[in-house]
Amino acid sequence: MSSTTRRDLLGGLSAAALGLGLPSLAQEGEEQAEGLAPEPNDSAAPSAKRANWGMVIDLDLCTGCSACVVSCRSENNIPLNGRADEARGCEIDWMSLLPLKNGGSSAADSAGAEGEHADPSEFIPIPCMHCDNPACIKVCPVNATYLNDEGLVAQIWDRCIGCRYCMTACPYSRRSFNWKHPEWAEEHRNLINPDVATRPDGVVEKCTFCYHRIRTAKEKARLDGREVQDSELQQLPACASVCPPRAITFGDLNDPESEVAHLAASPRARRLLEHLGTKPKVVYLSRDRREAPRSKAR
Amino acid sequence: MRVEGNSTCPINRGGVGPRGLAAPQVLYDPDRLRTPLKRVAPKGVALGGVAPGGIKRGLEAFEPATWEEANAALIDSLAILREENRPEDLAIICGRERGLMLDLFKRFATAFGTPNIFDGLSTANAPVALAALAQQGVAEIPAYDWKRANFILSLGSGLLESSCQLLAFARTKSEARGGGAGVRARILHASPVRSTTAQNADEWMPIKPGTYGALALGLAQVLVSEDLYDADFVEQHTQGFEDWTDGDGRSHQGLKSHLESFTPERVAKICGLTPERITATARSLAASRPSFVLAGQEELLAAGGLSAAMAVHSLNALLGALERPGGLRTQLPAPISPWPEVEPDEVATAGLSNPQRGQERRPTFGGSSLDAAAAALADAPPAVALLYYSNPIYSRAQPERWRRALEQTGMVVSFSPFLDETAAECADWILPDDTWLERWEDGAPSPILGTAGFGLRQPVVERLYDTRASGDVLIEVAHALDEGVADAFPWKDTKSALKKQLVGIYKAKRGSIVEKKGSTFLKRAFSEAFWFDETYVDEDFERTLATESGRFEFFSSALWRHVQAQATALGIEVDDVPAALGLEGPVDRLCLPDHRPIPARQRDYPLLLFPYRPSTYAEGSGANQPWLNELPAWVGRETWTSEAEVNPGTAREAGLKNGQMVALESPVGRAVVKLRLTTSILPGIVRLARGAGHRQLGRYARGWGANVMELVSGAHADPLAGIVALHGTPVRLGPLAPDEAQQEDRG
Repeated sequence: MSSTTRRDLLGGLSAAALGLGLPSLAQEGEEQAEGLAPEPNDSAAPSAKRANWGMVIDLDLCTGCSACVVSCRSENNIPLNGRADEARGCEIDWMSLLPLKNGGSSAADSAGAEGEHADPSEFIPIPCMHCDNPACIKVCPVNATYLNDEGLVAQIWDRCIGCRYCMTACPYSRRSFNWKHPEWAEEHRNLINPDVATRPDGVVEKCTFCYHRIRTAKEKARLDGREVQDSELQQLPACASVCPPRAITFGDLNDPESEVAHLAASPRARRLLEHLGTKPKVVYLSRDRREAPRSKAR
Repeated sequence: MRVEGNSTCPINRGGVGPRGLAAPQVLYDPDRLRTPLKRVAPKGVALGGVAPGGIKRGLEAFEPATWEEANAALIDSLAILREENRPEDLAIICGRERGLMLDLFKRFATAFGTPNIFDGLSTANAPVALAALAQQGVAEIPAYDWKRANFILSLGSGLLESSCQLLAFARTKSEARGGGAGVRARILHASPVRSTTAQNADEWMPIKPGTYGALALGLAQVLVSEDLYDADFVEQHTQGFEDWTDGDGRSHQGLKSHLESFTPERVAKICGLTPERITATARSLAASRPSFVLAGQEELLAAGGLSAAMAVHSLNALLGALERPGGLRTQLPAPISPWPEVEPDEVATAGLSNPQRGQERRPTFGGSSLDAAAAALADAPPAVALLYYSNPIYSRAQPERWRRALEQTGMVVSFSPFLDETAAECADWILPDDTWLERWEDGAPSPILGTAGFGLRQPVVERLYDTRASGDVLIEVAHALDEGVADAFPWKDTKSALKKQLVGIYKAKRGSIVEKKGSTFLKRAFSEAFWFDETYVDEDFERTLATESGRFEFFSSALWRHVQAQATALGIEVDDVPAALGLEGPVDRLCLPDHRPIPARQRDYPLLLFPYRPSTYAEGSGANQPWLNELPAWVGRETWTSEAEVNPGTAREAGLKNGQMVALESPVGRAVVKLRLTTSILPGIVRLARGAGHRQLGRYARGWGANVMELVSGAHADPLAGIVALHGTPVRLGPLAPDEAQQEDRG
């Protein structure tokens, strides 16, 4: 990401609007311009161009260890599901690790009649896809969920009326409903992350791409008087920050220099249920046996 | 509270596995023990078994005590043993495999005078570590240079699911995939089960259970017969390749002639592969150098595990993979200062001259393992038993045998921070340890990179309850005993013992932390929490081939001496040893890599049981952490239950259906489990995760699933080493009795 300040922001925007790579047009009269600038509705961030948050998950590196799943639960105060709720299918999951049946080439996969008992050839960690054309937001009767201007499918817990239309609409089943008031054993309350609100019963919840961490990173950059660096973003969400094989990369898809944009352009890149036109911003790198461009770092 | 990775540590580089992330649930477990406990109800069958109301019943047998009372009780009983000149009546069961706490307990055993200390290394990694001891003279599992390898053949290894350092192996796999040398390493996994590790490999090669040794020898045979082996390495650094004659004038078989019978055709039949596949794999190994063969650790805990592990080690030697880039490495120790040598006094020397329990009649190679000790301890229970990181009546084979031993032991002291099965049902005193987020310790990594590293575990919170670090308790107890024991512990507490070790690293002036001033060094060491030195010298054969001959021994002279000792102990000729052990063939085969089939299946129990450690709650110690319980033992499986996984063909023969609750029976136990059909498992095998079926260990662990260890007979131990078979217990599957089925339906 190029190093810009809030002053360059409007210039950048105008230039982008004109489709020109011109230097800032707002160098003069910036005081007034700043006063007139509409506040981004979810952030006071001084980023230059609007970010478009996305994630790349390299299935060739993923070992199926589930660290991302536990990390997400710990970071986002997801209450314990417990045996009974899991059995009833009432569990809450923002990040799941699911088996992916994808054809298959091994002897076991092609075992004919017993094919239905074949195990997957891959595991697939599934957070919210943060679609650019999300099905879920279109059915929300109260605008509790919407696509924000940084490409996140956001959800306002307080506004949700619990109709669960969005859960039905999401083709990836990435939304969960709070069937009961979240409870923690007294001692386990020490595990609650103060940066993330707990959700009451009767509302739908979902992955936020750890928005609170993005906000903190921006805040920190602002205090340092600089731009958020791609290196700060790559492993920012809780799932990515712990991933032992570094299979998860996060960042700004609008920044052509970012690692995430570079990886998303790989010939191994695929998206889930792409034909539905949801335009998911979680990109998977397939476990292609052939050589294909890998991370720049390597 | 939340756990994040330490980005300066070269092993995890900021990553954290699921178990690390769930650590705060260990610290804040609502069912943690908060004071020392003293048993007030008699122990024994009355309180054993599944008690309704579980934990309450368990705790009701105890009364809270002060640390003064608890320590005094322990000191009194130990002092009597010393006064009565029978220190060997103390047994110490320490579940740790390496590191400071194991060293402290070993030190205590030596100064006190008991040979009866049993450690964790003897259980999980035994076959591979013992093969390295037999052939290389190093009693430690090898590390691997993943980054520079082109081709990795994994023989049943569970590094990506069962290893306790799962995260490090996830990282190393990703390095192999990333291709440090610009080449994406290919991973081929051979095993009867398409496990998580197999799913991560590029290809799964299904082979029959218990045939890893045969496959390794078959591959070796191709390398030798097609002249694809590293002749220079074999010539310069090995012994026992050709037939040879020893100093006593006795002629021995060498590997080369021993391999002649392992033709691809014969091995193909044993393993269930085609001869072409074996030949092609051997050629790939040779052509894709640097390549190495990865031995399973737990997977070789089966009859003949040592011979199979030696076969894999020999195959690596033939490939020239030892101590070469992209091959095997021998763990470099951190340059810590050694503690002063312990000088056992008269009482201790006499005590130490006794054989270790389980070694009286027939010594086993590498000493007694925990499992081999069980029977001996049950026959002659010790006066005092200390249990650290051990819950044997839940987690070991034939837990009933352990229960018998511990119920008859005069005084059982458990250091468990939780009311686990052994503490609840057998302990007279529970002296709860601090959890690892509250205490000082080292973090001794198991071999992964091969390079030296030393972690510093430090308290991150004030201790929550009236608990104490077991290291501190041990030192305090030692100080209160007579001089012979007390003088061996010239430190105030664990922290000062740890600091003494650090002096050596400071003085070495190398690696990641180099400081002129000692105080600055300490400050940095505690803040960075991990010291490491990434230097590794390849081809340092002087250090790494520590056998008597200074060479890699295809024919292990250490094993030969052991066989001779066995002959003497049994009062027979050396040539009769195999027959005495119930084995066929000449005695030389005991010292060479070999294939020993799993004993023929019984008609009543036609299937083989394969327990495995899931990456989540492991052998059961993670089952009190609900974040781990909410993960399936194997991706795509059900949570909060035990699923017995079998091939659809196997289920069809037994007339059973997917998802049905069934009875799984072995000659020693019975369990009710859910049936899961999958073609990821070859016919004839039942796979079941360990870690479930707790009777104790708190609210999250109790009351779901079945404990597979109750079915493991451990009957087919390795003939030479004290390895008890985890795999291969004969079992059968059948429908539930009608009343049981009704109960399950209601449940």
